[in-house]
Amino acid sequence: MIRRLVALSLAAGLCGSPAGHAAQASAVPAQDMKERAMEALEWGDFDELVALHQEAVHATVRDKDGLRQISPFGAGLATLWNIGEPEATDAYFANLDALTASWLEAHPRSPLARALRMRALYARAWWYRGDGYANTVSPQQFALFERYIQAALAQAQGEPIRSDDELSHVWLVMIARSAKLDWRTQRALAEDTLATHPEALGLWEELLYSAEPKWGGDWDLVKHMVLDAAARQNTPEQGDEMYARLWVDASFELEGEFLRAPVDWIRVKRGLRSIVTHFPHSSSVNDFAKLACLRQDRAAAQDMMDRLGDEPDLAQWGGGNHARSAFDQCRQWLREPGTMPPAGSEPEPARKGAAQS
Amino acid sequence: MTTTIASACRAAGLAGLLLAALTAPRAADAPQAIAQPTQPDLRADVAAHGADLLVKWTQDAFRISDEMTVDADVHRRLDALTAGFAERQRPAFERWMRELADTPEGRRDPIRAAYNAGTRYFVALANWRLRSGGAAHEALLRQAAAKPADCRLVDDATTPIDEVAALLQATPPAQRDAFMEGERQLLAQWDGATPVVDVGDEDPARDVARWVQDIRRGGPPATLPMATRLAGLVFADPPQQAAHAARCSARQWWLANRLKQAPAASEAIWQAWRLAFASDLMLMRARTASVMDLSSTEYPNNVRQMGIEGNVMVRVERDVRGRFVSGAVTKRQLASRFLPADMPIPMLDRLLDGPSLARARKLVNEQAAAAAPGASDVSSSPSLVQFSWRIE
Repeated sequence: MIRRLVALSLAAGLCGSPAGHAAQASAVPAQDMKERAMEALEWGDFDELVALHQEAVHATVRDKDGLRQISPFGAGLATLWNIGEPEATDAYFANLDALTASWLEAHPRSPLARALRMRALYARAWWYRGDGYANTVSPQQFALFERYIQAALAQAQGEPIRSDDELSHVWLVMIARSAKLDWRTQRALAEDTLATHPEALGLWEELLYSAEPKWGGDWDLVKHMVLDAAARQNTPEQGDEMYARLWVDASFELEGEFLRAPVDWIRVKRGLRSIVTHFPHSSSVNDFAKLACLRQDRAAAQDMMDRLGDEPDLAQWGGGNHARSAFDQCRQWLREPGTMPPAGSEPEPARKGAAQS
Repeated sequence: MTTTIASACRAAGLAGLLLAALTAPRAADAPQAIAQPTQPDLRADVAAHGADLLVKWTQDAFRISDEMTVDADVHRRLDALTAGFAERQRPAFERWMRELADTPEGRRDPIRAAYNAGTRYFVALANWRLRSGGAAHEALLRQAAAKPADCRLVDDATTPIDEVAALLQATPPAQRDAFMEGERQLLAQWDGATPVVDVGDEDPARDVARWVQDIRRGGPPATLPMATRLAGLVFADPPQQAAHAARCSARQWWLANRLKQAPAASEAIWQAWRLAFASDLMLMRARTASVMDLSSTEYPNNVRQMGIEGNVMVRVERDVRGRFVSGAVTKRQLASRFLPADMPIPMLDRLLDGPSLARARKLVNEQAAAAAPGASDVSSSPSLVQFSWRIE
């Protein structure tokens, strides 16, 4: 579950920027970035990874979800960190560890080599830990988990990470969370980038994840963090989009509890409406439909389900069979006339000057 | 892409001929009838159509696949190199067909010359990559072969020239003229004899199998890390079948390790890499399992259709309970009954490596299972096992 959420987080928007909607030409087409990043790591092509990373950082063209290229770049790599059976074995992760170590040895000044090294150590740690409850993990597995998380942390602390290196900061927060550093410390680590790059969605998402109750936080902490993230965007529209994207992310943990979460539903709708208007093929259409059903907002749900038709992106609806069920139940609920009242908004005031939905 | 004789025949409008070949009485069944053909024009027709097929196969082999993501410069250079090449080889192809018709099999069953043409084509293809294109080309090949970009591109390769395109793409633009000069030399030798390639004791397939086995057993890492794709396949539980690009990656992994382990033997190591490259090309074209895939003990149909038969010797290592640990092919005495008797079949003789190793594993494990627990007659020492492959 943990790794699924981490993967979702990365896939959903690693440092994505809602800033501006104009798209410019890029050497790497948006739809290719994820696959090319994955291939470069698969074939051990460090030079290609460096080139793609530079492209991802500097490209202004965004993917179909309106996210910057660093997002599909991170998502492409995540497919190999989070690999499942039958490929996932001790030898596989040991090799990944050794491969990234060899890159760092050959390129000791490369920020990407260092980032990949610490991410590989993190992946190896979680391979030993597994994603089950703590009582399913043996003492030997826990010891190895601790060993590799500490090694990842030591790697991260070995040399200062540049403030504009969003990817490294995302991975740093993941490692810090696993090393049980408290939320304030994680927030301070992230602030290094967020102070100058508040649009770094992936970083906010990692902080949000750490702020959730399962990691010792609470939904009030999440609420204030999301408000802070939204308030730091350049325009009200961007603020609404950030607000919506982060609550979409939180909904994967909240599920049915989303109905009672301290969320300004009107603002979420405004943000999602903005995203799906600018990016009509975005997976946010699925997010919007799912959240509207969770929030029991019949009008919004019907609108988005009509747009989806019979082709949902089930990855946005949860995991495994549950995703199909969630989509089907949403559709079923809409067919039953007026059994539920439409949802009202929570008393979260929209920011001054924000567009009205 | 037409890689089988059957599909190529269909493409060339030879379905009738091939059908006749497949349904005609076999030589062993009716030797008298076939020894004295009643259709005198048939041999000439088969020879002409065989040459047509060879032109077509060669055109296909030298066409860069649409899926290959190589740059325009690579496309332009290789297109220019191979333009009209297949057509210019027609006189050689017609001579090949005459030579094939003059073999015992060709005389007995002229229609089967279509198969002979396919086997002869594979020999030429292997020879093409076994020769040297000169010192400068060699140096550039070695450089490109070590780059991960080569195997990343090979993932989309379906034709032999795709493999060259991947190597050329991995070559810096400033050095591509020298690379292409080497490729011109290689094509100029297309119709030449099979070169002698001395690899000493180097054997990439054997080493890769051993190293993977050692790592899977948790031994200390004595090797350099491999590409993640390859690791996902060979370390998977159970191990997954290695696709063509993964074989490229395995070659690359072997090369890096051996050059580090034995820098003094770099020439033999390089020659072994060249052999493995040509061998993998054959595996791709013949669509036959590699030694990394021990899933089938069957005599592959396409190998049988090429008339390849003979003996394969396997050296087997066993554990203390007599079970199969690893195997390596130590000797191949194989020939094609469709080719002239003295014609070597470079690389085609490797197409039975995988099935031979699979048979060795099956045999050894069956012997171990049949022995009583703790029996003293279960040997754990290495031994040689010979497998005989005969076309009935």
